[in-house]
Amino acid sequence: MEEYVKTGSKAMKDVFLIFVIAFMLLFIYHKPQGFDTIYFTIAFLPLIYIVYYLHVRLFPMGEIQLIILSSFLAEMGLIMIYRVAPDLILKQIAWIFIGFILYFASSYASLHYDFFYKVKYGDYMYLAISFILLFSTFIFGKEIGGSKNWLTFGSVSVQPSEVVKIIYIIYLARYLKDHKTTNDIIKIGVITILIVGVLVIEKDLGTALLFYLTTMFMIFVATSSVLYTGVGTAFLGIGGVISYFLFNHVRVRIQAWLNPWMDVPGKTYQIAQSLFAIGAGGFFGTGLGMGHPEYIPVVASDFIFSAISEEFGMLGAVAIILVYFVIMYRGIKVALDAKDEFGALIAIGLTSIFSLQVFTIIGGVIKFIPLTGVTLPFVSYGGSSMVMSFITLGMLNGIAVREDEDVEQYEPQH
Amino acid sequence: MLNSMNRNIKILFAVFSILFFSLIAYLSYFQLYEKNKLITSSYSVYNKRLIEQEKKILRGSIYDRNGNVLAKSTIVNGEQIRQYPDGVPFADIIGYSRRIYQQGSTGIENTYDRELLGMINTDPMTFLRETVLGKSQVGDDVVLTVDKRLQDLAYSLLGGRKGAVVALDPKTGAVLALASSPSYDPNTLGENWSNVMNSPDHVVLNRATQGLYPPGSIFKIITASAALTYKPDIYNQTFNDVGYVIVDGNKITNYDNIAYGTIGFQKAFYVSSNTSFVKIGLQLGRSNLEAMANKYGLNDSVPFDIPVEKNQFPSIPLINGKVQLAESSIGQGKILVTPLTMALMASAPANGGVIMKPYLMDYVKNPITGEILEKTTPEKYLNPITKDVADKIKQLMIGVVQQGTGTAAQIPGITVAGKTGTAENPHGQAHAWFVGFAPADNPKIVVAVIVENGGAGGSTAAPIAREVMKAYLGY
Amino acid sequence: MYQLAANILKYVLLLLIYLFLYRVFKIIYLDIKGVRKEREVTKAKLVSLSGMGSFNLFEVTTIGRADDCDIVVENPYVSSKHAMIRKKGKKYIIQDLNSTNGTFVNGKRVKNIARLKNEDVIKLGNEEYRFLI
Repeated sequence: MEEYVKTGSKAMKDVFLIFVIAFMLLFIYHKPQGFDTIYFTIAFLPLIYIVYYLHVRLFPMGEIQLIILSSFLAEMGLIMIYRVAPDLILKQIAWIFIGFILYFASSYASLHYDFFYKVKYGDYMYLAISFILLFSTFIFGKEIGGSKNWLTFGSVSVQPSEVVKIIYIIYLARYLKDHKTTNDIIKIGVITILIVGVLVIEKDLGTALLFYLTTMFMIFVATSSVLYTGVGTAFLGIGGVISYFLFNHVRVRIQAWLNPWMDVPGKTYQIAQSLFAIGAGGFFGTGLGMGHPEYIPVVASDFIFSAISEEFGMLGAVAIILVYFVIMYRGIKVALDAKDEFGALIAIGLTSIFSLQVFTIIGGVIKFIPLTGVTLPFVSYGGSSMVMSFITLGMLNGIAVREDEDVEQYEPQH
Repeated sequence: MLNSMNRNIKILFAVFSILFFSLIAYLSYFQLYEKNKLITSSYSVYNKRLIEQEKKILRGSIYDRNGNVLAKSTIVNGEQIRQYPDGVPFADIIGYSRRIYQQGSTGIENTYDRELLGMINTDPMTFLRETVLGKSQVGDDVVLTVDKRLQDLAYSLLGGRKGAVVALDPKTGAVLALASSPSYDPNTLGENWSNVMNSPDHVVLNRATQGLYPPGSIFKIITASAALTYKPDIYNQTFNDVGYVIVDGNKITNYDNIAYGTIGFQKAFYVSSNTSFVKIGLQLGRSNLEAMANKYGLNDSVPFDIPVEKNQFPSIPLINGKVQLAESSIGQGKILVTPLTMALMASAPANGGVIMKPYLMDYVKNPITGEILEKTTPEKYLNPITKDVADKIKQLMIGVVQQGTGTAAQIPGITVAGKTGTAENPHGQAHAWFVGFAPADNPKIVVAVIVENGGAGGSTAAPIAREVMKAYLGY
Repeated sequence: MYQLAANILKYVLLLLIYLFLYRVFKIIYLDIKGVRKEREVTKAKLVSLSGMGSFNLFEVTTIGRADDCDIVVENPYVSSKHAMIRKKGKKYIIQDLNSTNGTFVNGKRVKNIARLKNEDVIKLGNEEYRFLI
């Protein structure tokens, strides 16, 4: 146990050192605009230490690894964001700060996750909120980066689909715990296809895929049915073919994947530039500030992995993938150790959607699968993604440390 | 907790593990294989990184066969400057690079760009060390087959007239000179870009490889090849030359309307009798003439180090094709060829019927160690005629220089073989042609000369060829 | 100059990243294997002052009402995971696991971690034990 704790703090020291070295270089590369930038950037270090310490104190038996790993990822994101777009770093640090707060909030909330189960008319409520949020973008939505899935409030833009992800997982876990007949599964199937349809029309293909696959995985875990999984896979294939012919934006993505060179100045510009960047990085990378990740479009959000591949090389990129692998492993472990089926299903849903999102965006930018614009959790620039990723891990932590029964506690008698 | 659910969760863990590790596997595959394709492919022009990287590499030099510098790079105030010591005569061979003039790349600078940037066979350790030190790398040197002395001579002999001179070694295909006139000064291309590009004389056009001309009477080499190959008895025929011949109502005359009377095949070739060769062509028929023209590559783009125009020998129609057949037999009508192709044509009789593939790059070497990284080995390109036919054509060509239209090409002490041409064209005075080689018994150099609107080949082009051959053979 | 620094530090950064990864995987390894190490019995023990017997302490011992605690206490005043005693070098320390009613050593509430000495009296909720080495 002692060694366990020691290794954890050593890992945090590595995170600390990486940050110091990288920003030392970057402050030479991009002279900081003002003292604000320096202060806030340096503030990141005490922030993660406080969070680490608080976590050890508040959740002695909690999933401390989640904090170590997410700190590392957020740090890699900050380094790359400052490298390619120094103006964005203050906002990103602010989002990380908010993210940590929400991590603890959702951890505490999930200690009592039975509440999500016991709430009256839960099914209807969760679905109603999900659909209201999804449709809100149709009415008030704004198109950013080709997808009409954003709501803007003043200078802040949020993606309602990020929030819907978690509500929908809670809904599914709650429903699947007690409903496992074929009719129930068909009902879930219909609802899922509705949600996915809305997302495809909003051109949010990546999120659509995440919803669909996560639902499929949760049904599989809850029912052990190979049949449902098979049917689900078949539907995915059919749906893919139909949307290929129905929607131009789907067609463009698939064609760009099959032949990223067909129209480099136009349709395949993004993926081609991404591949050039990854190629330029080689195994060891060009070194910070020595590559040209600024040639990649939307590099701070969707394509941040390509930027890391260029300047940290394939070794850096593989390290990032391994970190996500460990997060996935912890998520699976939380699901295995969960006290009841509801908790396990939520944990599986959260782990699935998180891991699938990682796979979708990394696979997309390296041309392993067709590119769909989702963010890389913790690393990409963006508030909605950062906050929801922290909430996801917070909930996993809450499920992990949850007390096994609700027993009243007594005041001490003196 | 249900046991089955735990099992399912473990299955899911396996699925996710496979997904994550397939990402790592694909990334490795990409770095090991796909990446190299990315750099070498033509798509790399969209990769701005390469251009940035290349600015740091000291571009290699270009040399002629005797070690004379044709192009070199030096650093002046931290900027790379490309210098061309013998700029004007070589401009249309060497070309320019987009690394220096952003507008584009041409010539040897374009073809051997990767070599000049040292991007072939870079020793990984050297590369690593230089990357770590952030040193500027050095590109490799390209050594050409051309002879600076010959090139300068050929260019000056053209004397500012529009035209081209091609000289090559018929035994190997190595190009010795490839002059195109008028040319431009690549050293001042930056300042004069638009003047050079919009010049009415098309100075950036390499007339030797990209100029298309009617061949005129030098084509009679091909007509004679066809006759000797497909209808050998024509060699012993006599022709009644009255100075003209009428084909389907069209009158085709001899040059200067001279009537030669009754002459044999050899004499007809020496004096370049159009009347006789129209009759030969009509006897051969369209398919034989076309077949031989194709064997000489007259419908090909010649494989070469720098861009070439495709020759044109349009097929002769089966019906009402008699006039076109007659015109084609004497190299007029719709035939268009490059001077390079005509030099290759003349190298067939010079080399026992075999045309070697022409080339400009002799070898590429590391400037520091001198190690040879690439080398061109001569290879066969075409074999239009047998050795027997080749020797007969050679004899005919010797006759042209000794007693026919090409006497101006004679060099005392050396037997020269050749053929003159005077190509009618819609742009004014006829183009003057000469193709030939020397010494006839052991040909070391083939020369093709064209002077646009230069008049008679025998008086305008043949002397230029003579001087080039003389200079090369050391007389 | 920047180039040289960036080129050298690139390897340093990669080294640190992989050192980090090594530690992350070491934690997982300890997690899987460490359970057994934590099971090793030490010579220390707790003796119940309410006559519930004595308990041998492991490298890491958790005390609480939950079934998976090493020492299970059937007492409503005790939280399900109440406290943890672990061996640190030659010393023993006690850590409160955010119990509702607190952990006391010799009458003083343990805020976070406290060191244990021979003969100390530990109070969890209203259960009392004597710590013996």
